[in-house]
Amino acid sequence: MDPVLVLTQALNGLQLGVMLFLMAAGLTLVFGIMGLINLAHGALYMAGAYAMAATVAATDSFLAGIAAALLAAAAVGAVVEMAALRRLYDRDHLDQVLATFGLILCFNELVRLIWGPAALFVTVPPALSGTVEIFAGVPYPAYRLAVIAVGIAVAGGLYLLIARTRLGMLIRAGASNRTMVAALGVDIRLLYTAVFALGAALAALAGAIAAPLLSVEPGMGEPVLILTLVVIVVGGIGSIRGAFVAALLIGFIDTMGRAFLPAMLREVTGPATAAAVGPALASMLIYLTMAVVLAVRPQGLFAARTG
Amino acid sequence: MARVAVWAGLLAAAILLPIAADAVGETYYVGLATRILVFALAAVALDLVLGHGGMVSLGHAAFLGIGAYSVGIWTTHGVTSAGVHWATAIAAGGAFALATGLLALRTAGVAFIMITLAFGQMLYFLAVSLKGYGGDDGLTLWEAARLGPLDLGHDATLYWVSLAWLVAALLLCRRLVASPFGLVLQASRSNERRARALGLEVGRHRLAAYVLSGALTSIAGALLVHATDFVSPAYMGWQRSGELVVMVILGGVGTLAGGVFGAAALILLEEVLAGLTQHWMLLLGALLIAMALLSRRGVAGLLDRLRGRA
Amino acid sequence: MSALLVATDLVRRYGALTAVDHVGLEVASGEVHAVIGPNGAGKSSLLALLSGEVQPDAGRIRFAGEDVTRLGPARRARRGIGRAFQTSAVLRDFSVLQNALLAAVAARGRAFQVTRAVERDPELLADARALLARVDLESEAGRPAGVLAHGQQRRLELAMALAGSPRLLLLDEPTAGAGAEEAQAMVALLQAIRSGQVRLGEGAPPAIVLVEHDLDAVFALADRITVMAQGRVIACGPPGAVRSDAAVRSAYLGDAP
Repeated sequence: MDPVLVLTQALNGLQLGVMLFLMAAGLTLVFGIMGLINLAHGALYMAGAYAMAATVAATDSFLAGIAAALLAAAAVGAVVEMAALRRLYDRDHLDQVLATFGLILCFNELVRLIWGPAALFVTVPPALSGTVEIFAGVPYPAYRLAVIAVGIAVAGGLYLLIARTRLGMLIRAGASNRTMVAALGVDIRLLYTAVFALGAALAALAGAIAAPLLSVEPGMGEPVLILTLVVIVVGGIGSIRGAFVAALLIGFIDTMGRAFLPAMLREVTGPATAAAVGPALASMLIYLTMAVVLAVRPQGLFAARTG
Repeated sequence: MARVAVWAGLLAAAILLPIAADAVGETYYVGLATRILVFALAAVALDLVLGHGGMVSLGHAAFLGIGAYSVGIWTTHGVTSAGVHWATAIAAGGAFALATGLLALRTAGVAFIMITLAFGQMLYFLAVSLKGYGGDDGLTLWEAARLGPLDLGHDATLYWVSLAWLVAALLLCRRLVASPFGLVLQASRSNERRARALGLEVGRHRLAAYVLSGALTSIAGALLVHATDFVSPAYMGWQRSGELVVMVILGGVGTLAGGVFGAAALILLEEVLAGLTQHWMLLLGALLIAMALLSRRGVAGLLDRLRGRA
Repeated sequence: MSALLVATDLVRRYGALTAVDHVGLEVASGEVHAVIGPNGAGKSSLLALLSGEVQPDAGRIRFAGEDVTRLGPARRARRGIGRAFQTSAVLRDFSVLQNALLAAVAARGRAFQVTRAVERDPELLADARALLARVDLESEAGRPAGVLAHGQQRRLELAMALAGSPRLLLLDEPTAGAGAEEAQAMVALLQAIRSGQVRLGEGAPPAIVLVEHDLDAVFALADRITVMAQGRVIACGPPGAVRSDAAVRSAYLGDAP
């Protein structure tokens, strides 16, 4: 195997991993703290991508696009939380599934209504459009490298936020003991809205920085949502640390599997079978990973201590 | 006994529907009604696990897909016997349910939802990668299935066959739910801790119900292809799983027969809304949100309320 | 050693907290063994260990000569350990009769039967009605269990726990949340179970492990009392001895209401 290709694909895996982490962090926090399964989390990712595309088209500024995505999604998240979802925290999961499934349909159709069914494209900003030589003779797109950097920076920031700040203390306490947080005199409803908006902003960031890498279209959030759910199940529901490790793991396995599994299979089974089975197996690989984790540790790699 | 009379009347009306449609020249409605029956079958099967076992499966479309590809793959190879199609659907659907159920049922609640959704998506991608059978674009079948002397390419025949499957599934599930097995299954939903303390291993009941549900839903998938002569990965898209859950909720969770009304309600609603505006999904979405926030007892709850029993 | 239940050196930790700290317990056949102690003493955790809902971090549990330490709650129940919970654990959306039927299904080992409707099975129905008769709930058979008065729910739960003719019954605060009258009725019912007046099947009356706050109930029922504090056993013996034990007085009885 070509070492340059392996290294490039490993970086691609890392890039997918950090994006998945941005998605998973918000989703797992919302579940861990509010007990809500939010299927519409992918819609917030889509909202971020569209806010990005629309803003870049209007202003030609990439940074304005990012800012617009964060603000728009945080605002949408906060409104949706206050208008609808907060009533569902204590309901059974079926209500939550129904409502957030309805939200997905609404968001996808709204986007279609406003921007039409055709895909939008965002170009990589000129400053990041080239490649960088990470090692001599190993060029890598600068933009993807920037995505990795942003992802890791946000992960670090999130860690500091949760470990070091008052908001983080409340988040940690809220995950294990709601009444205790209420007893501290904190407006728990405000805390929930803030957490939801934070999760929405993270998802939107993922959508915004992914926008130049793929097409922006209605329904783009759901494939990512399902990948994110796999990450959360593997990492342990409610655990941020688990989400981080699992996101990187899933990102690597998916990328490497698609890149190399068919070729490896060819060595073992011969070209005919490999051509037929290889791509199928590669696309199923992360789900098989999830199956193995479930078989060995049904509570996920890092089970959160919340009941 | 009044209930029996009502059901007998409904069944008679259902049996006569194609004849009536033919008489007034509106045969389009036979196809629509078949679609309703097939999804009703899937909704009844889903309600067995969702309503009675408390297992919210968001991956049931995978079983539709398994049934669909059972028909598609056999037909491509020239096998048009519906018996073979169905046997394959039941075996493959049951096997997939057993394998994924063993893993997913190690968890409960929200994890179960996520895992069923993920396994459903896994099968979707598997279907996309089946290049020999149409891949992403799907596969059009040029030969209708046969059941002995019956030609399932004939709309009314397929309608009656679907009706027979639905009635059989309803009777089977009702009987199961009323049996000791069913009581234990429902106890596992209501209070698992209590059930275990009585010495009941509820996990096996859940798994058995899940396998049966998967097999029945796979039959629905097969019938769907008999109706459309077309197979594609879209059959197992996650939205389809969501729609099945919505049908169960619309009809009333844990009522079995409610699934029939839920399927009819959603499919007819889609027809009506789609006639009003191309952005009907927006209306449907808003409706679902409102239902979740206000009340979830569905059409059944609404009927109860109209009768002043709520 | 003819004890029915022998638990040795049980340890259960929750994070930094050791809820059950090297606890031993022996229960003889037919004995009523009360476990008392202040809040947070580890009584409920001990009960959860005995029923199999929670696995111990260390220690062993033998029941009727068999090591059951690693068995889950359902298996222990089938070996004869019945269980009633602290917060009423009847199936609230089932009717009272269905609750009793469920217990009858479990007791007869028919959990996988699919051939006949439960409510048309004369054997199961007879079992269920007999069960309800023992605890005076026949007249409530058709009502949803969730709407029963608190005391009725506790009686229903007790009846369900008795359905399998257990040799050992684990009771978590049967009088908790009850009024004075209800509590007395419950004590009377437990005395009747203990003396064999109220029973199902032919078996001898079950031994009972009773976790209880109401000391009147404890002294009225118990043959022996184990006193726990901070996860440990601080005394064990017949009621008279425990009542006069100095350690118990300072740890517990002294500040009891």
